[in-house]
Amino acid sequence: MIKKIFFLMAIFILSCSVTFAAAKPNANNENSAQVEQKNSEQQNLNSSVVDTAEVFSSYQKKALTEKIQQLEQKYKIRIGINFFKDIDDEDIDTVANERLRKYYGDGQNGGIVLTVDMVYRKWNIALDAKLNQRILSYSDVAYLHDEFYDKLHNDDYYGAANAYLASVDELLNYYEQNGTPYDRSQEFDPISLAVAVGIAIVLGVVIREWLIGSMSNVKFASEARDYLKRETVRLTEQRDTYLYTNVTRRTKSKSSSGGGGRSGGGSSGGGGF
Amino acid sequence: MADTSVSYKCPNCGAPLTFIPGKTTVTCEYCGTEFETGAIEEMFQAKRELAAKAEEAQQNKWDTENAGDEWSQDEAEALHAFTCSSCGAEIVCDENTMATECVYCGNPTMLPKRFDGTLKPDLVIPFKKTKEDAVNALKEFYKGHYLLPSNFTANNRVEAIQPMYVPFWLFDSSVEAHAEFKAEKIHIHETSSEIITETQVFNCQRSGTMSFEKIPADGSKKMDDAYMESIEPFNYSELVPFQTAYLTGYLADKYDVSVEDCAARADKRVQNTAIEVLKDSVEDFDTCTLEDSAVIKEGGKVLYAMVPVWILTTRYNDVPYTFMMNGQTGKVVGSLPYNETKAILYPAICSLILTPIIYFIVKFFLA
Repeated sequence: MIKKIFFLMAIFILSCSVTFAAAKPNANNENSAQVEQKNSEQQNLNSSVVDTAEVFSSYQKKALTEKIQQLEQKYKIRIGINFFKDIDDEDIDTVANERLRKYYGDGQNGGIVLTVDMVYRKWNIALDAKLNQRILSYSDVAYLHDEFYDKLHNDDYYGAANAYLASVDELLNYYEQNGTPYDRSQEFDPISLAVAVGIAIVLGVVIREWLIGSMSNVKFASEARDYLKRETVRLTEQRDTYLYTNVTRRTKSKSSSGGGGRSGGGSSGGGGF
Repeated sequence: MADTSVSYKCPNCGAPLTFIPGKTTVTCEYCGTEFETGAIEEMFQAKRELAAKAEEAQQNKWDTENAGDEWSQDEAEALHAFTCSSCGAEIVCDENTMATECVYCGNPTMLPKRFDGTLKPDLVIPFKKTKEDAVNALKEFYKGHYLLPSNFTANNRVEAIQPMYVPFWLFDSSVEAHAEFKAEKIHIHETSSEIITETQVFNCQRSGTMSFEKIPADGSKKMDDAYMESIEPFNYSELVPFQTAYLTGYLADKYDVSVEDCAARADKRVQNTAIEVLKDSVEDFDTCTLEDSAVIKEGGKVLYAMVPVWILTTRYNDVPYTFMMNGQTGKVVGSLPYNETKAILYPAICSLILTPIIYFIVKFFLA
């Protein structure tokens, strides 16, 4: 009897052990999947290319990532490209600067991130204070080559991202070679010169007419106010009658580029596309 | 033969008398004796009457019927000869001259026939500005004109500036004016997607009466109307009843444009001003445009006055340039010649200086 009892207890303990042993690996598997997913999301948010809008193919994403890694190593900076499907009505400038601070602010020479909101079709480039010493403004990155905006506008997001990276490369390369950041205001602009010459010629003609006009002060008097006896002026009728109202509506033009600003000593700005 | 002109000579020393600007008396510049204008008036009354009769008699001699073909009727009527009472020389002047000076002896000379009866001015504004004032004012006028040819001021005979009493008609006018204006109130407001402009349109009726006093219109064909209107305004508080003594030492013409011919100019100015006064009463609107108007003249009187003007006409490159100064207020008007090279060079220099400034501004906005 005692043997029987020990036998049953042994079977119970064994079965429990087997059950426990069998159950334990499942729990471990479940936890690790959750962690893995969390890590993956975290890694996704941290990664150089974040594409919740799914505008890049895996090949394009890989190519961009490789290019970013090359530039990051070359210039010791962090670069981000973030295309979001939706930023939940948050201000894109705030989102961009937040992401720059959280995920791309650990570069030795600073960090920069391109953020695009696909719902409202807005873009933003934010760079931190460190990088701002090498790149003067977000607008230098965006407009160094017209193709960035053109491609973004024409839904060629891969092309736009490449143009963005090319601009960053060129601007930082310029800094490496010259020791000072590229300054667009120092560049000669033939269009501005042509406009300036045109305006100067018009002003010259106006000045000439004014100078010639000042040579004579002879003119006919059209009025006789000097001889009006003010005390005799008496209004006998003064009637204002409302006739009608005209209403004209003009649609506000959507600017292709928005304003820029500075936050935390860096530079950020963008606009619609 | 009796003199046809009267020289205002000092009863004390016989030297020519001159009205000094800014004074109320006529002064002999040689012996310093001062005479009240009224006393001078009485003193030379008889002489003027005699001279007027002598001129009437002499005018008969200008009957051109027997004068042959050398002078046309118009030319003969325009020319009049007078005998200088000082040196006896013959002074030839046109039909409107009231006062002049003898080109031979420089004696101030009156032609009394020209301001007799209805031709006599009612009022005169005596000269207040001297020749020195006029020369200085003219030199000042030349300054600050960058296009003035450099050799213009050197050769323009500024010392030859002449004082002249110009005949003016002074119109008093009372009017009743009606005007209809279209006025708008514009309100602009914005939504997130639109700019909305609301324009409220009103019809504004205005009527009123007003009076104008002594609107001047020159009665001389020789005087450019634009110049005469440019030297305005005059200070009418210094108008005094006309006395010939004020003309002594100055050139003076009688009117040769009738009051009827001048009235249109005065009426136009009254009309414009009356409408502007009514327009000023259309307040609190953003725009106001005249739709219709009617100005009815209720009446008015006209006075004949002599107004003091300093005149200089000079030539540059065979083109005459006239400058005038209001002999009462000192206001100078005129048209100066300009150097074409300077007129191209200076604006070009300005354009060159402005180009880089504009370039950076344009670049800043295009960036």
